[in-house]
Amino acid sequence: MRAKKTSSIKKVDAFWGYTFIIIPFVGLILFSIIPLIMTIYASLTAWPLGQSFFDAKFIGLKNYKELFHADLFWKSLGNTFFYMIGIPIGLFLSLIFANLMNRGTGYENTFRVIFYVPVVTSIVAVSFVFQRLFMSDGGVINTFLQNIGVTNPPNWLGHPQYTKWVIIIMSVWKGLGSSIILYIAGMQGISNSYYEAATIDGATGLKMFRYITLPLLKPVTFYLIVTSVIGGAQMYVEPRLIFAANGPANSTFTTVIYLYDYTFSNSRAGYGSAIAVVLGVIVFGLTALQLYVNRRTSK
Amino acid sequence: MNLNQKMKTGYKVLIYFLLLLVTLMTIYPFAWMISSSLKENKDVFNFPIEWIPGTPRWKNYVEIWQKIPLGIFMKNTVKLSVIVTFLQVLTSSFAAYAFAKLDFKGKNILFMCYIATIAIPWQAYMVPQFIMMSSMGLNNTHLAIICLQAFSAFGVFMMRQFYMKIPDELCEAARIDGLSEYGIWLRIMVPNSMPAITTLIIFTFVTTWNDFLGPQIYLTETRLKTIQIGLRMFSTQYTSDYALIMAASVATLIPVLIVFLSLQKYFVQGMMSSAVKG
Repeated sequence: MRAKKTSSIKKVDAFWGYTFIIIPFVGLILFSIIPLIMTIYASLTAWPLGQSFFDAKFIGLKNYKELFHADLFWKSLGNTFFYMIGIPIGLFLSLIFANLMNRGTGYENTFRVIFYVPVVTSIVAVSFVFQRLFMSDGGVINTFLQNIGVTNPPNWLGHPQYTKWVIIIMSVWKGLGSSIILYIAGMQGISNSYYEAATIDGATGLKMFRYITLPLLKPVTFYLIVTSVIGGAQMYVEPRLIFAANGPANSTFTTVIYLYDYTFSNSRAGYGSAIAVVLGVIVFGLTALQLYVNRRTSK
Repeated sequence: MNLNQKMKTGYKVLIYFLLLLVTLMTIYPFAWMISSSLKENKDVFNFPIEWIPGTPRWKNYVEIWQKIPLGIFMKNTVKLSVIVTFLQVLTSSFAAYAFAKLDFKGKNILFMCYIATIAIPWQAYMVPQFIMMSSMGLNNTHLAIICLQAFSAFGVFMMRQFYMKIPDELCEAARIDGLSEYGIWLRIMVPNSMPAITTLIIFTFVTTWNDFLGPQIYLTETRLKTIQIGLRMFSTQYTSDYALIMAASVATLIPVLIVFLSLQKYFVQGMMSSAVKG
């Protein structure tokens, strides 16, 4: 009797399940999965953007061969990953500030709102402000550096050695609020009894942070790393807006800019698709690897 | 005891000092933005910075609407952001309900599809997507942007995480009371997931409002463009009009701030329960 009842509920479930999932899933297939499959095929063709997708000439792995021999591609990939230096810096800073804010300053909410404002601000506006702040002549930062006695402040926007740091600093600044909020949310989920027990055992603040807070925040850290790597691989707007071209000596050039330019400016959608596939595989692979490592170390 | 107390006070002072420092660094670019937006163009780079201009030039905020069709851009962006946000929250919470509370064949495979899609950057398939949309006659329409942002794998994932924590018993009880599945979704799931919904609203609204690459690809006609493209247009056309560019930036920031501030109360709770415990 009982078994029968569950199975009838299951049947109801299945029917209703499909009614709920059908529209979202058709959307996913139509706008994500089909284009994704098309990309993979297109990467094996010579496909001028204007031409119909189905007329594109199949050329095998030629695009990939060209891609792997293109210095500019490796440069763009190197730059894209260089920007990810900002991820650990951002995590470290947000962990510290989340911890400070969580200590009952009484103004947590105010701080939280302030730190989140850069996150909701558009990258276009932020890029513009940062470009002006970092100008070598008359920019606020270098004027400040000169005033405190730095005689030869860096040429932030003009020298390939510094250009990437402008973007990294800006990204960390912009993203800090988001990871702070997540860390605070994580910290509030940690039961006080852990800390009480540790206090009885004579643990001090730093030790508690190291052995209780940090390990229990691991899911948050993991989530932040995974999403930041996925987001970081998509770097496009920031360098494009701050450095009109690709920065001095292509120093701010990224893989997505490469992809965009080849596809839309040079109209080589087949080659662009090969870039897209390589980028997709790298990001997907990195994410899978992180999931795997996370699962192994959690056990 | 005295030493201990002194240390505690010192510690507190240090905390406040650090927090104040980082707050200043956070606010600084905004303060500069707002202050510049009220200046004569030639005064923007004066040093030391005159934070509160002697005679604020409010006219900047009038001129920005006349120099470029900012009004049209604003209207387009509001329209897109509202529609996309509404649809994305709706489709995400629909799929999430199925994944969290119902059983059906192929559920795990479908869910894997969603997770995999999160891990693949949009840029990896934006080109065929664009071609597909164009062949459907959707290039240079707002519908294109709406279609491609109405479905979000991340949104589904986030809502599902939250729905998983709503007890099954609630749904069972409602089912026994004769509520249909749609009734359960509307009367039980939606009201019980306000933190997750508001979080998703903030995410989606902000993302759509600030999106650059999507509109750059799809919307090439001035009458269709969004505010970010307009802002960019402004800054390339009037490169040296810093004061005006800053005024336009401030103007575009206000709506998104209003949305964020009015919903932020639930935000931390929403983040905690949906994103953190993945």
